[in-house]
Amino acid sequence: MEPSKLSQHDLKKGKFITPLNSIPAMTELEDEKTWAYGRLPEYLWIGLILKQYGRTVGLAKMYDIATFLHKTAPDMLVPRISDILALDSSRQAAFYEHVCSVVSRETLAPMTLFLTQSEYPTFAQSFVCKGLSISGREKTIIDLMKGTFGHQTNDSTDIRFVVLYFFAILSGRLHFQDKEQADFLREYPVLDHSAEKMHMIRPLVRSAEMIVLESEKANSDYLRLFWGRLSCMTECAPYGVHYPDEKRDIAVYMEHLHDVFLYLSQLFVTTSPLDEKMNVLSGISTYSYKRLREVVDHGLYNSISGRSCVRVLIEDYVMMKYLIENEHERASIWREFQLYGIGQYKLVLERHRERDSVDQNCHFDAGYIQALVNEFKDEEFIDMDTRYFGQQSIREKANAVGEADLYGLYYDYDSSFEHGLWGAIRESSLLKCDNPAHQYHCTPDVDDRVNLKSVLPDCIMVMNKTVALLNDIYGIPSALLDGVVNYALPPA
Amino acid sequence: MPCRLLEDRMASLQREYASLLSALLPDLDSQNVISSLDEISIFWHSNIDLAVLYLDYVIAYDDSYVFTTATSMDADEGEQYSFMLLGRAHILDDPLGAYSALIAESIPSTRADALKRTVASAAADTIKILEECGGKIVVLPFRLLRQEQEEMSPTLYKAGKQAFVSLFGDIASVDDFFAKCESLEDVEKHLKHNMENMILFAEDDGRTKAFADRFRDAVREHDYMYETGSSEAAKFFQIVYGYIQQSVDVLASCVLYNCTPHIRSMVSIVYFMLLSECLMEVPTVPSMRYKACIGHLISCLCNTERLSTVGFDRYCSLVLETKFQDLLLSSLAEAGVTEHDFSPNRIAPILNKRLDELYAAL
Repeated sequence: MEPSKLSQHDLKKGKFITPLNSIPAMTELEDEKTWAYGRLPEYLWIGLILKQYGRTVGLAKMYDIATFLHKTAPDMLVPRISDILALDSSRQAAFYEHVCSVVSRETLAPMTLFLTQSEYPTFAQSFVCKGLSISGREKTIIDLMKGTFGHQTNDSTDIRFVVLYFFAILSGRLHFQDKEQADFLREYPVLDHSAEKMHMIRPLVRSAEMIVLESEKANSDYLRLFWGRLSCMTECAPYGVHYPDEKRDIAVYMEHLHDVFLYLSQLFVTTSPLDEKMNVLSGISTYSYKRLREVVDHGLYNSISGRSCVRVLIEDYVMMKYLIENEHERASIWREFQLYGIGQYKLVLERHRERDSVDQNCHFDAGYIQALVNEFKDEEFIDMDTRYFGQQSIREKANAVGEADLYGLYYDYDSSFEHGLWGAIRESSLLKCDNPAHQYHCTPDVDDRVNLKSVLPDCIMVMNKTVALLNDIYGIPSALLDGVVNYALPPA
Repeated sequence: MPCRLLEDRMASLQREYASLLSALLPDLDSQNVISSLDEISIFWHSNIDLAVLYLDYVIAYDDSYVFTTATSMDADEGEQYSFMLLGRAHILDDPLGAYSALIAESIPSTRADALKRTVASAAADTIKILEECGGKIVVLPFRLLRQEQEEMSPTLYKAGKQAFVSLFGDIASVDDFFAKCESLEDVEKHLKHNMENMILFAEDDGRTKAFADRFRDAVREHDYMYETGSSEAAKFFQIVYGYIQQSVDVLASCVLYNCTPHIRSMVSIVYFMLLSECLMEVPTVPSMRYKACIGHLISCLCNTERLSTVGFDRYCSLVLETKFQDLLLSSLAEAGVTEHDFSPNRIAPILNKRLDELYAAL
């Protein structure tokens, strides 16, 4: 299934609603009704049989077993293990005995890991196998779950077919109006998964199997037991994505960049030392340069901080363009920008002043910040604006200056890292556990095994845009500019 | 991409300088000359950062030429036309700042008056260049800027002395020169073979007279410069080493800012070539010598009267359109003339041919 496009989403009160969620009464499945968490544990026994004997033989054996189960428990709608376990012990024993006559005892023996003597004596006594190690049973279950955890895999669909067959044919709870659909179901067990027709039949099986959910109530106790036992018994198998560490040497680029900024600095000091526009533009761009310098000097390309750098490079670039594009309407915009920033400083300063005691080791140096706030204007004349500068968010500014893509494709992503949102936390600070018995949960990446894709190309891309913008305004000698804008980053 | 802000500021500076010179011109040949020259010095001192920035980032990165060692560029004679034949960026080395120090020295009043007239004339010429060639020729105190920026490198200082010593066959150092030479006859005795015909003492030194006569004429001309009782050898050193020092200055500035000197003066080019030959290991020097030689020959051979029949701006465009420099250099290369193997005699006929083609294209 192709993911829906952003344009297909409904934007309501600042929230993009997916096309599916836009359908009235459409609700997400409860956890206990989901395939992986709620249903697979119930049908795991079917999977064990199919896995043990292969699809064709396994399905034939399941036909026999399911038919016997229906005869044993005619009221049973679906072949859930929790429902089987709820049968009285004689019926259970009869059923298990039949199962053992069709398949080997060892086939369902792995389930004795969690269906043990104290709670499920009939099952345990029926399937316990002397000499079958705990780790061997564990491995069988884990291997099966790896192949069936996804609700659309071929193995999962085979299990779901058995469930559907039991529900529709044996229990008679589902009638296909469409003959073709009924024929498809009949063909399913005899067709190989590679058959072209199976592309139509598998989705039909899966969607029809979902109907079962309407007539069954999840057995929370069994699910808790299953996951509880299995997760305790098996080890976490954490793994992390590790991108190639960025090792490209960009000393030449940084040297060129330094020369450009040195030139601009000399140009400012020499030609326009009191020019507020140049002061602001060279200040912002030098801030970007210093942020990039930090990334390079400390090798932060694959780090969280590297993403913070890309974000600020974009924000600085967008702000520069915004200021330039708005100066014709507000000649004082350069001074306003400075006062806005100083006002933000003053606001924090005021908060510190209102506290009786602030830790002296706090990284906010009130004395120095006070000096900066009062550097060019007495603070009594400096207002503190808590809104966005220019009353436009960075997204609105980016749109206004024709850099919507920089915002939409890069800035927003990096903002997740800056604000510690879950996407960024998941990507950067959590490992994946490869154990389906742990439901593929995540574990904290305390030892820094995960890294992130290098920000170097994007840093250069945004920095070059910044330099090109400065070049448009001030003109940079080609000999300096070319080394930056025409820099060819070596292949990774 | 042009360095817009930098070039705009330089253009503005050139206009300011033209205004300043125009305002000072009446005072430059009067008793107010010292304060006027002082103001010129202050002007350049105040704008030294901009001038150096321009040299560092525009001149140093372009195919640049500097008109230097002359008291002025004679706009009436059309010198600006011949100057534009080579290169893409052009500077006039403004001598006015340096005159300030000279005027302040205690020189005889007759010489001071002559110098004042020279200063006033040079200022008038500079104003003409600024007005007529603004944007094409940038006036900067080229050598003065380097002097203010950095100390003379030991290598160049040594090369100056080495160039002087290279005139002699059996003199190892300047100290050795003074140990062995007292009279002009001593000097002549130690000169390399035929060197007396190579050495020039003044611009109008025709080399038709005897070596001793030419020397004594030059000494008489600048009599006030010498200490009473100094030997002829000392005076010889003072004249010749003075020219060499000028060349050291030119060479140091040109190496620093990666440009080629355009030297009209015969005596200056001779000593420049002599000195630069001692610095061939500096990467930019071989090419600089070659182009300086071509530039000097252009000054000698070019008919500026014919060139100046076209307006200056149009003329500059024509020079670029006709690719004068490219064609000249390729013709020279075809004739086997290169920066490592050239002589005025081999360059002159090819240059004349190209100049004839240019005259015809005007």
